[in-house]
Amino acid sequence: MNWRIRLTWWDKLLLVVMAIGAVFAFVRFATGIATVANINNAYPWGWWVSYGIMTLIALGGVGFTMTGLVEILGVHRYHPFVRPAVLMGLLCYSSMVTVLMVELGRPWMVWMIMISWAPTAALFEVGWCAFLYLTVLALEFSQVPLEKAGWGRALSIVRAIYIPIMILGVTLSHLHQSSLGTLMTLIPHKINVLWWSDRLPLLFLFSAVMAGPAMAILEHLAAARWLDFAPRMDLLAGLARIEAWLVGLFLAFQMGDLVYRGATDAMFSESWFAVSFWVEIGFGLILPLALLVMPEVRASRSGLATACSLIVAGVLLLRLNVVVIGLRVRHWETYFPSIGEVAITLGITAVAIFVFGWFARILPIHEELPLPEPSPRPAVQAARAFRGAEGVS
Amino acid sequence: MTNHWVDMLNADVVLIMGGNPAEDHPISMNWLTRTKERGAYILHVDPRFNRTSSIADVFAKLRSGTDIAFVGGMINYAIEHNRIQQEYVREYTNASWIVGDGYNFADGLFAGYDPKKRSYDRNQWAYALDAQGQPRRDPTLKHPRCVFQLLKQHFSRYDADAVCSITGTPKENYLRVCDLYTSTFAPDRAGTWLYAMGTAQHSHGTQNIRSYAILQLLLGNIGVAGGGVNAMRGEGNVQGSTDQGLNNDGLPGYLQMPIEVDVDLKSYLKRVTPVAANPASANWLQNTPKYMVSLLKAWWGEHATAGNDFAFAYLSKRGNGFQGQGYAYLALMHAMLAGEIKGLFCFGQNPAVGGANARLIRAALEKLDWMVVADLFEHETASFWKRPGTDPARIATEVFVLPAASGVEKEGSIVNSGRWAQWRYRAVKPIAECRPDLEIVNRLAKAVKRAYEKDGIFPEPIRHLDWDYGDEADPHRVAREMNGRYLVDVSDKDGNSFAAGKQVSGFAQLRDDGTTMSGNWIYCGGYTEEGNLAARRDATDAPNGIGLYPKWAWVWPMNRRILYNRASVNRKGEPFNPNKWVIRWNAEKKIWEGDVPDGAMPPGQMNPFIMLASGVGQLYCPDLADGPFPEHYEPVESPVRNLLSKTQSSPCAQIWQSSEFDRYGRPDAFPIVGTTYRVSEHWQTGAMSRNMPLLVGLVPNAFVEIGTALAKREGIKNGDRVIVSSARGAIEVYALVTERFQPFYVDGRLIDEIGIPWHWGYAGIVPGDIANDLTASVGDPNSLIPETKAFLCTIRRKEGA
Amino acid sequence: MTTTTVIPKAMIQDNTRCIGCRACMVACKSWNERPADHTEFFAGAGYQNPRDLDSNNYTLITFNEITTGAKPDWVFGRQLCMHCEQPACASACPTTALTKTELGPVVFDASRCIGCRSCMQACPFLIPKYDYENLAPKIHKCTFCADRLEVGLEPACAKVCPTGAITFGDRDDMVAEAKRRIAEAPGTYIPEIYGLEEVGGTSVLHLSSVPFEQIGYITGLPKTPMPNLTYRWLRMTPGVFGILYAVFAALNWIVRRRMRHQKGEGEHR
Repeated sequence: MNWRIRLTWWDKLLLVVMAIGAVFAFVRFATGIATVANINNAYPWGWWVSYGIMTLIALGGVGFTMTGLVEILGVHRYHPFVRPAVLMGLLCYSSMVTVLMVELGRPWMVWMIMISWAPTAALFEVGWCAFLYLTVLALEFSQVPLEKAGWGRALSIVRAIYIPIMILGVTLSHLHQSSLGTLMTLIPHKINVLWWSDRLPLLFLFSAVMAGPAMAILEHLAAARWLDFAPRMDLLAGLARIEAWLVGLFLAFQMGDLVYRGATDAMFSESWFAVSFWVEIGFGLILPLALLVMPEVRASRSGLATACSLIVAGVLLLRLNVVVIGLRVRHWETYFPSIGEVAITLGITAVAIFVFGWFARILPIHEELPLPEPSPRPAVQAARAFRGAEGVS
Repeated sequence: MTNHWVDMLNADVVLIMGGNPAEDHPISMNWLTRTKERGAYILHVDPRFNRTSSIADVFAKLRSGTDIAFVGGMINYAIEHNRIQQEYVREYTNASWIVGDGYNFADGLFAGYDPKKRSYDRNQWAYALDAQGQPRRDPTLKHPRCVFQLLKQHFSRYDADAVCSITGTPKENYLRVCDLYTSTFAPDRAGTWLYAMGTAQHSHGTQNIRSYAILQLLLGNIGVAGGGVNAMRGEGNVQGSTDQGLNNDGLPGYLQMPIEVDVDLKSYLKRVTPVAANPASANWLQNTPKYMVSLLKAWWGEHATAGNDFAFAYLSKRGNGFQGQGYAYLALMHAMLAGEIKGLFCFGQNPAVGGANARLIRAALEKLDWMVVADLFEHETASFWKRPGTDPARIATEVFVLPAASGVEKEGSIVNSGRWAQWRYRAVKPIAECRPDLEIVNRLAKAVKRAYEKDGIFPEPIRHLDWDYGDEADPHRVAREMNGRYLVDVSDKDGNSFAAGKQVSGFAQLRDDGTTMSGNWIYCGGYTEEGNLAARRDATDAPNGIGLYPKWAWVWPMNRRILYNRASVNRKGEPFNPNKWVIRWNAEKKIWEGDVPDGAMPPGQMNPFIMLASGVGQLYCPDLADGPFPEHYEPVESPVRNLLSKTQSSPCAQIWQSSEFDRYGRPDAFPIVGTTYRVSEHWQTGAMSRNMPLLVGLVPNAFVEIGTALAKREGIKNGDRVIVSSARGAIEVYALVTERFQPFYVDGRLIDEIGIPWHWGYAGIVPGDIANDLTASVGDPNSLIPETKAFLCTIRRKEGA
Repeated sequence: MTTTTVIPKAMIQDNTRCIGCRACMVACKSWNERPADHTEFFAGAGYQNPRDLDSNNYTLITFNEITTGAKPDWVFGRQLCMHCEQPACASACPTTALTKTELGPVVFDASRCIGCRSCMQACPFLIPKYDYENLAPKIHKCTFCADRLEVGLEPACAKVCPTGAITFGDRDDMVAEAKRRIAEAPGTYIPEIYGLEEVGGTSVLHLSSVPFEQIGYITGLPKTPMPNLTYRWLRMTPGVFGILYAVFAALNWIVRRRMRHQKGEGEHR
């Protein structure tokens, strides 16, 4: 199997971002968190936790969402989305673990979770669950390289256990996606009323489910562009319609929960909390919903890309609001992500994107999709390579 | 203190004035908290609402320097409302004594004032004597010239309106203080009066304290449980240091320093030994000869004999001092500045920061040939020659710094404000070459003695000094000497005999014939044949249960815990307050029970104030330099005219004007009243505390506290850098703007007051400007203590800060 | 076999007796060997330093200048770990590095800490602090001098407090004493014991003469213990796992069966 690819400008850009992130990460380990990050005693969790851990896990939920949609709900026509989704999940979770290594004060002790018993700690549950789920994802995805490499024996073992571990994966995902919400139920007096809820576990789970199809759509559009094949707009339109329902239901759920809790006044208060809330709801839910209900949008690549990007942004914003922005602190305390924090997470994300792009060019991730027309020039055909750099869209 | 710290528990009302115990004696707050729990009222009178005020029941604000107006008004209030403990005042004070015709008072001046000398001829204030030469009396207190009537007349001008327009106290608060405090006139109620430097450091500081004494006497609060005039001493062992006669005008045990006219022991003793005013006065100090001779025997041992006047000639005699102004602090510094002092031993003191008019002092230090500093750190005085803005090359002073051991690194006793001498053991060995002061002095004395063995002018006083405290000075030997012992076998009139070398058991055993010695008569009884009583730690209270703890440590004199306690009983020996009795006469056994009685004689005609020649409490005191009654005067630097009389400030205050540093400001240039005070976290000049990182972390920088109104007018915000200046200097500090410091409504306008903690100097972990650069060389006429608590200044925001 | 019952301890912080001298802060830093602070001027009304608890200051006296009517007043408050009966921090810690001991203190075992800082998020009183500048950072908070308590001594702060503002003893006695003080001097205290019922009760009971929010305390806290909030969800984990797995397995079985039929049918097409 040929592992090599030709690096495009996008690859090179990603490598640069990775390098910058690596430098900051090195400084973090050499001189301590305080040198690179702005997190402090009032805001112990900042960009790293809200994006690098919570959002990456939520976005990694594309794995279980698409798998569940196809294998458990039986909507087979979306089968082509499963493999990319599983790879994205694997990469998101791996990135999350990498961020964790940077984020934790004592990452070399992380194994301590594995030998502890802390049933009241949501992070204990998340830790175990995510660890198991990462294993599941790796096993699920291993089919692809094993198939490509032709290791039939190993492949058959994996295939034999595929059903139980797939179901396990979907189950585990439900558990830990909601536990991330459970984690934040611990501090009702510290989170602004706009976001704290008894139903935070369900909200987080639902949000992760909503992120799934959006991520799948975005991935498909990006892959079509870079791998040079025609996107399956019919499938995308169908997914988009499902997504519209999910966004609508989520919006109703979130708003309903707010009303139920009597927090409607807070929505219209004159505060930065209210502003952030409306940004989250407006750009993350209302706007994309308005877009997705329109068939023209569902049929348009740019429309879909916009709507789904907004949804992903909304998923991030929800977690940012719950974990950081909505936090009640003393009036002199502030936090804004530092360049180092952002650089490190961007670097790690760049790794994920790079690896995805790399695997997409050397492994049969999108095999079920129509491949591009073979070129009429046989000379070029022999050296089969990624064509994006030649400017072919 | 006449009483002691634990005795606060017995008070019904506590008045704190000129002091801030929560800040500066935090351990004492234990007693004040507990007495408040028992229902006592805490009244706090202060220019500013501070940490003590936060636990007080009533806070009454007072413009610095107007204490006498305030208390004079309380005296007036007590008399007007007849809140006088009648029997007490009649029997135990000089209220009934009739004053001679020479005394009068007008326009703020007493009779006998000489404006050129700025002093009084006190003979004018003498009592009217009868045929036997004793003061005439009117027990009905109605004679127009009796002390009580003169007192009443004198303070009749101090009505509440007049007082409040001087002090700036809101009248309602003022009357509440008067009402609450004077309620202690009842025999079953006691009021205790706590004060500190805020009272003493004024040009009328002594008279401030006199006013407290007068009020307490009128209310019958002296000698009783929960009463007293109680000074909260400003240093850990300053009580001990004054007891040992370290002041320039005293010998150990508060014996008077001989002066030039005392040509021999006989004439000295004649001058200083008081004569009883009348047969009812025990006049304990008539025993002065015994104490003086015993002291001389302690110092010169076998070289002090009846034949050589007990070596009285060896003792230095005090002259008139620099410019005839004596030898107290201000005079010393001026003498130093004039180049008259060649060398200085500076032990445990930091005058460059702590003395009034500190710029003068630092300039004076430059004139010394040599200086020996003994301290824990190289503080501002030790490093004056390299202070900021000084070129060490032009200073010729040779400075020696001897490292001293701290309080926990040496053994010995410390005497607290309540006269409790508590022995302490050494907890840790001194680090490096640090030595206890005792050891430093021991070696110094021995070295001086060795030098004088060879030659010297008038070497006998040094050569013959009986100095033997061990190779390494043993504090026990010193303590034993202070107590004193028999030098030969003696027997007393009761037939008891005592062998030579045995410790005396009390000063009643000291003799004036050279057969006894004692280094300090008031410490007689502290280290006897029973042992070191100051080391006792038995926490059993006496049967009367008022917190005397007679077996905890040792109290001078004679373990008497409440002074003048005979005033707590009537002439029959029955306590005025049987619920909190201090002493009582057991008629069957014919003994006193309770505290050590102040005078062991049975109850009867002998008067309780046995240390005074008169035997009675002095409402009228003709012995002080500036008047028999306290009178309100403005501080020497004041923003307003004296509303009470034409005499603006104390007519006898010592006002230095001889040097370029002695400048005084007028209200048009310096309209703000300035004062100084402390914070809990720092100690004195910060020589120790500003070298402690944990303390510096709490209070790092020098600051001035100013009120919000003044801040707004000057455009100063909390945390701004400001310049505070007086006629003598300017300092730059942080401004702390607070509601707790409000201006005073005086003479129809608002007067601002600001305050600066004086803990900072140029040495230490965090330096800061020196507050005492602003204060003046003005001294109280009696104690000569500087008036650092009231001066004039102004403030402005620092540009570009 | 004999069993010794360990009697839990508690502390009363009586702010009406506090004179703000901060001997407690100095004793605490001394005992816990914390370095001195480098401060400038003050960080609060009056002489407060530092502004907040941090990794070097496990207790803090707050200076509060309050004006009641026209009267100025200076009231001191104290911040320190409340050593809750059911601590949120211990419940949130995924490695059980924080535990509530029988004697009362909530102690921190650095050897188990991964540095996730959940405890910092969880604590309703905002107590645990982190030394981010350290290469091996730790959680810092008041230890209730657990080591001193083990040998029968009282906490360092209680020992040095000159006015008796800090009283230490058996929890039941302390609760009774706090109630007694309020009952006997109603004019001095507001009728509230901070820490008695907050978040299910704590080991530090505060008394005050003014409302607690005026002197820097966090108020409006629920009375329910914090761990309940997460535990009521988390304890469903095994059950939910079982149910979900079963449901998904069932659905998947149905889906695969339908697929096999479709394939079968498809082959005939």
